[in-house]
Amino acid sequence: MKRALFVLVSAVIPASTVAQPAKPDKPAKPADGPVGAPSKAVTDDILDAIAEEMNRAMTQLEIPGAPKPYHIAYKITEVDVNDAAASLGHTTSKRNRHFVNLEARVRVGKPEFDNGNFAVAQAEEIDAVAAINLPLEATPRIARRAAWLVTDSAYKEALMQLRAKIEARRAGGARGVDVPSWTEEKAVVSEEPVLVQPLETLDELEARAKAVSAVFRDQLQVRDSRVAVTSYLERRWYLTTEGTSVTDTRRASGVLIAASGQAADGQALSQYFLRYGHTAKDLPGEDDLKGESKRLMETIGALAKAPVLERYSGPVLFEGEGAVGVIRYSLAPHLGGTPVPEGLNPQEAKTFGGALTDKVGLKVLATNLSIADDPTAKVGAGKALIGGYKIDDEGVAARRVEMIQDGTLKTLLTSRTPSQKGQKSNGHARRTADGGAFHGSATNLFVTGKGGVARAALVQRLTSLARAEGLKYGLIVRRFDDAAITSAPEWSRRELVQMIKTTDQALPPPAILAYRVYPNGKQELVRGAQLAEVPMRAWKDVVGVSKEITTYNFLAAKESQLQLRLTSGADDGFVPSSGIESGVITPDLLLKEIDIVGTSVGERPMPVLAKPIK
Amino acid sequence: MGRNPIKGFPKSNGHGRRSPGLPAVARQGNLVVSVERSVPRVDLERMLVEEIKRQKRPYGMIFTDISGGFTNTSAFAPQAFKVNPVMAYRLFPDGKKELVRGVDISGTPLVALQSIRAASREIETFNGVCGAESGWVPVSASAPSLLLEKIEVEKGYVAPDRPPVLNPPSIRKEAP
Repeated sequence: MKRALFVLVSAVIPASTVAQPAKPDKPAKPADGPVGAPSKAVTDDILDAIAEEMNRAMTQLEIPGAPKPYHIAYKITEVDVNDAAASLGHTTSKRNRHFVNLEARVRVGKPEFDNGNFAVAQAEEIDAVAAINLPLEATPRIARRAAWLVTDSAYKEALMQLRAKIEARRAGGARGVDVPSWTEEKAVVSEEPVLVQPLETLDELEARAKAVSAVFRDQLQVRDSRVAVTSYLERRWYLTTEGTSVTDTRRASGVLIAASGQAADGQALSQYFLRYGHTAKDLPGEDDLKGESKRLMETIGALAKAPVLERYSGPVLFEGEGAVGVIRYSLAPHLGGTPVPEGLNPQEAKTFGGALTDKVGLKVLATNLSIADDPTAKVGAGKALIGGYKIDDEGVAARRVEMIQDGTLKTLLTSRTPSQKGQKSNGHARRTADGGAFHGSATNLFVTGKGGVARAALVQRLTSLARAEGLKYGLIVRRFDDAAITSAPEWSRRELVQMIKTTDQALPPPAILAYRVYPNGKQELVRGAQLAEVPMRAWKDVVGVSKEITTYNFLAAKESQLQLRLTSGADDGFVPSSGIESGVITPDLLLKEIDIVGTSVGERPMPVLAKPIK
Repeated sequence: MGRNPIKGFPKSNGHGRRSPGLPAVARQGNLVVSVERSVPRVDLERMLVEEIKRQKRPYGMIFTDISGGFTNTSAFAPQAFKVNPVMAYRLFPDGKKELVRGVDISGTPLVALQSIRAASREIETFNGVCGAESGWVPVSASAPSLLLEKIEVEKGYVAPDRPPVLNPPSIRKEAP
C-alpha cells in the first residue's frame, strides 16, 4: 500500500487564556527566523520501503496454526539533542545525541479480543513491540530489512502474549468479556514535513551553563549545584495498516538549575528551577537565570535553619508550582480511562490510578473547578507549552477534551484500548505500560477555577480557615520535589537500600518549599513536609482559587519517583528530554483538608571537614 | 597483586586495577604466555590426529575463535570457567574437519592447564575488556595455539527462537 498522496493538516486550537501570567516567565514568542531542513535520515524512500514491508507482512506473515496479524503499526522517531551541563563555572559534560529508531507493534486475534494490554507474568518484556535503530544515512535497503526483523519479532511476541492472555482468562482472571480489546478509528494522513527552528548549538548551551553555574561558587550553604541546558527536536512518523500516514515534529529547549544543601540535623535539602519552551527565546535570559540561582541559594540557606514541620491536618494552599505538583502527582494519574493491564498484581495495578473510572457523570471535584486537556494547544496563559502533538501514538488525531466541567466528570482521557463497549479513543494515547498498550494520559492539562481572587486574598482565606479549625497556622506549599532532577549520584548503597525500605510509592514526592502562615500574615519556612496520599474526595473541597495562573512544563517519566531516585535521576544529570512532554496550567488551589507529616527522612552524616572555600 | 596483601604475597606488583567508582582489585593487564618448546601450527593438527587415535576417540575438537567467557573466582561456588567458542570444528581421524555449533568449553583451571601437551610457534594476541569485581578494564592476552590432551565441552545455550517467518525482503532499487 503506497502512502496516500493527499495531506490532512490538523488545526491548532489556541488555549483559553485566563488571567495574568505568572512572573517572571517570558511570554511565548512566535516562531521567527529560518526553520531547519527536513530530515535527511528518514526520507520518502525510507517510508516507502517500510510501508512495502508492512504490506508484505500483512499479506504473508503467518505461522501455520497460529493467528495472522490483523494490525501492524510503525513509529519512526528521529531524535536530535544538544545537552550541556556545568558546575561552578566549568563544563562537566556536553554531548549531542542523534539517532533514529523504528518501532513495530503487531496485534493478533481480532478487535473484539486480541493480545493487547496484557502483562505476561515474569515476562513483561513480551508486549508485541520490537524496536531497532536505523542509520542516520537514509538507506531504504537497511530500513526494509529492519522493518522485516522488528515485525517478525513483534509478531512472535504477539502470539505468545495472546496465548498467555487466553490461558489467564481460562484460569479465572478474566475481566468483563464484553469490552473489546481495540477500537476502530479513522485513518489519518498528513505527510508534509513539519519544519521547526534549528537547535541551539552546543557552544551556545555550554556558554550559558557555565555563566549561570558560576554564581554558586564560594557558597557555604550549598553542598552541590549544577546548571544544565538542552535543545532538542523529535520527528515522528506513523504508518499503520489502516492507512494512517502522519508525520509531526516536536521542538523544545530547556534549562535546569539544581542545588543541594544540608540541614544541621543532616537532612538533605534540594531545590531546583526548571523551564522549557519551544526554543531558547521562550526561556529566561542569563541575568534572570542568575537571579533564580541566587534565590535557590538563599532558599537552601534558609531551609538549613528552618524547623521541621510537625504533623498537620488542615487547609493547605498550593501556590504556583505547588499547585502544579499536587495536580501532577495526585489528580492527573486518575484522568486516564484506559483499563489497567490484565495480569498485574494488585500492588502494581495501584500505580495506574483509576479512582475516577466509575465516576463519569458524577461530581468529583469542587463545583468551581473545570479541567480540560488540550494537546493541540501551543500556548497556555501566554506561556509556551511543549506538551502538544498533532497525532497520538496510536495514530488518532489529537483533540481538546473537556474532562471535568464545574466539578462534574464528563469523560476521561482514552486510547484505543477501551474500558467499556462503545468507547472510542479521544487521541490521548501517549503513556505506555506493561503489556504494551498505550494508556490515555494528560499532556497539556488546563485547570480553570471560578471565583478567582488575588493571591494575597487567598492567603488570607487560608489563615481564616485555619483559625476556624482551631489551628495556629495554615500551610502553603510552593514546590514539590522531582527525583528526575534532584537525585544525587552520591548515595551509598546502604542509603539506597534504606530508601527502598522507607519510601511509600503511593505518596506524592516531598514538598521542598512549604511555609507556615500565621494569622498575622507572617510566613515561616519549614522543611520535611510530606503529603499523605491525597484522597479523591479532598478535591471536592477546593475552597478557593487564585486569579494568578501558573504554566509549568515537564517531561513525565515512565519510571516512578523511587526508581528515578535509585538510578540517579533522568538523562544523566542533563535537562530531562526523554519522557512525555507535558504541561499543567493552573491557578493556585486552596484545599480544605490535607494531611501532612513532618519528616526528616533524608538524613545523612554531615561532612567531617568544612567546605573548602576561601 | 594490588595493595590488598594476602598470605605469602605482602606487596603490590602494580596490578591494582578498576573502572571509575569501584575499589581496585588485582587484575590482568597484558597477559603473555610463552613456551620453551614449540612446533609449527600445522604440526599441532597432525599431533591432534595422533592423539585422537591414541585415545581411540571418534573425533577431537579445534577451536579457532571465541566470543568470550567467564570464570567463577568466589570461594563459595565451584571455581570453574566457561568459554564460548564461535568457530569450532570436529577433527576426525581421517583428517576431515567439520564445522559445528552449539558447544561451550568448560572446566577447572588447574586440570585444564595440566592438560597442555604442545604449543605452536605462532603467537596470537587478543585485545579486549575484562569485567570483574572492580569493573571493566582493558586487557590483552598473547598466547600460542595449544594442544590439550583433554578438555570438557558442553551443550551451549540456544535461545528458544525461530528464524524470521518470512524470507529477507528484496530491494530492486539500490540506494543512491
